Amino acid sequence: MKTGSLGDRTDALDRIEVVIQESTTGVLVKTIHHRKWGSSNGRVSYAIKVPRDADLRIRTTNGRVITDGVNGNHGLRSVNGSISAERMAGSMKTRTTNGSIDIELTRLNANEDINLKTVNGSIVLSLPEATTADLDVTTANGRIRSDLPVTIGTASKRKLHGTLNGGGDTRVRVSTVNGQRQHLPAGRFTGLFYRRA
Amino acid sequence: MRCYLTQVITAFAALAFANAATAGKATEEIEDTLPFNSRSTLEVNNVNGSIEVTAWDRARFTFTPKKS
Repeated sequence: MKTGSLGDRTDALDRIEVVIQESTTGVLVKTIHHRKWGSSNGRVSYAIKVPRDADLRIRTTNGRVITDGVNGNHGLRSVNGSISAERMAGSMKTRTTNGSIDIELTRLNANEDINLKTVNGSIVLSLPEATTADLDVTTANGRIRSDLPVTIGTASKRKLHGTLNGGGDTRVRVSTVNGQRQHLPAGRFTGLFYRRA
Repeated sequence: MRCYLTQVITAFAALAFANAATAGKATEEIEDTLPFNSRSTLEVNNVNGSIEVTAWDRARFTFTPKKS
């Protein structure tokens, strides 16, 4: 239940500053909370459209991250929130603490690595079937499953080291502590996923 | 009595209008656009709130932050 008057609410919004500026590498967007008495009420939700070929560095503390259709080198991060990326291409580094990760890559070139990590949440990674990569997958309280033909180097219920299509220059690292749900990628993509044991 | 009721209704209508006007300010939405220079990096640092990034076939960035 929220308390406080609308006047308090509008005051809180007035103390949130959104900065959008060109930087040396592209564009920087940031939210600044000018706090009063240590509080940080209010939130900012961003809807952003970008050219198809762009690199993303996205970070929020409390909230979801959703991306769609961008080709580049990407870093997506949250603390309390899920991360979802559809029809993406390029390298991907994704991290959250409380939330699931669901990544669909339609293209992955050599030396474009994937690093996905969460503590409380499942991870689903969908890759093109022809992907050549080295795999390093771990979970503490979950299950590892793959629709892809993985050549297993070493494997246990909680860890998997192996290769896809003979291995390659791409490294895929996937890690969760408490995976919670199962998801089967559809279409021509197949993937790795975790489920609570 | 009738005059009194009219005053009450008028007062409620005024109050509802004032609340609607104030409620409109409780959420802010702005839009901004920047050009795209060859290969660019979009960096977003947020605290409370979601971030949704969608690719399109135009050579510019468009931002719609919504405060609530």
